[in-house]
Amino acid sequence: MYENKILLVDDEPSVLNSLERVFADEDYVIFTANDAVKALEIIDQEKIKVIISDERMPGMKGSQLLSLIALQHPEVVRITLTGHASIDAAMKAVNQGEIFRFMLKPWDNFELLMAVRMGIEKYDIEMKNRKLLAQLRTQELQLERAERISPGITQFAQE
Amino acid sequence: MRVAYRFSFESGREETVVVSFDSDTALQDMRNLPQELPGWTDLEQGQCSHCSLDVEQHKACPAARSLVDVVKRFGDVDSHQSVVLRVVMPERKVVNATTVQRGLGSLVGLLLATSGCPHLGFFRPMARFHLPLSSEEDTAMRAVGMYLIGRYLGHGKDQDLGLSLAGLRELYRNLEIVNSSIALRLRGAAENDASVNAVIFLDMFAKSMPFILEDKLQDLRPLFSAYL
Repeated sequence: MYENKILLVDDEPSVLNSLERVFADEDYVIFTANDAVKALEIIDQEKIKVIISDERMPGMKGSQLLSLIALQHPEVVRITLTGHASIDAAMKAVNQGEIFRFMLKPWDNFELLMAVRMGIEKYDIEMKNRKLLAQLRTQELQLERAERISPGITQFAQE
Repeated sequence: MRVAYRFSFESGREETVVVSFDSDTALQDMRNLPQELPGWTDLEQGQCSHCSLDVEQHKACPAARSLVDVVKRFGDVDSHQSVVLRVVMPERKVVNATTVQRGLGSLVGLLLATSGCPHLGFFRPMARFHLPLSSEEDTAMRAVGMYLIGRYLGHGKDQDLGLSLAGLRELYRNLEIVNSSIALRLRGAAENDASVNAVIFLDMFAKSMPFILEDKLQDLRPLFSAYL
């Protein structure tokens, strides 16, 4: 399994510091970005498992950033951490599958830790599933090839 | 004692908020607070889980009540805007270029501490010696100083004071609960994010404190070499 890399995005340095401290005792490699442009650069270069992004930032908003990531790197687990949000917006975002968790500031450290742990688990399971599917597909192709060369061999093998 | 916060926006707009409190108790003068209060200040609605106030005797949450004027003035403001902040206190004047969020964070901290909220009463000594726009390190230094003075006064000179800061950590944990419920109230009250972000900004200090008490205080050893 890859290292547990997480990316924290917020324009306020004190929030980034505080978030880094929340995860200080976890076995994570932490990346930080103070805007969406920097976040996209990092996500193109690193195998990030979970991203936590603020919503209201100068320049590109957090929701726009996460939508882009959903298109370009759909495997990355996306969490919104915002100070201002309506329940409607939160429900819509989660129900439409745009994000994994919608969390409010000020956050509860334990809830945030749990959300990221579950996010990493989700990422790992999805990656494992993809790998197993790819293996299965390869084996199917090998069987099809064997069947073409020696008709009936795969039925024999199954017996 | 009066502390005046004046925010000068790039657009030319100016907002001044004056906080008046008793210099002996650091409690705000209730006569200066609005008498007609909006619904989001009701104590019963969203009362903190650890609040000791009786809803029969207190209609409004004192911490929320102290923010009514700020929410009214800054409810339409984007917290990222640049401002020049002038803070005028009896002993000094502080002028700094900053953001609305940081300036309001400092002001909201002063308003909450002097509000009469039972959990924020522990921070009144810091409010009395208010330091506008203080950093995390400034706050840690002042908080530990305040806490140890409190213990000294509480126990009497000849008794064993104990040097554990566990009680201070507890005060900050309680403060985090107040911050969360104030943010929840403000989310329903303001059109824009300035006042909520001020509370969030303030909460970063509360969240940092356990880490600072564990790690950063040891980093100050060279500074205290004369004591060691």
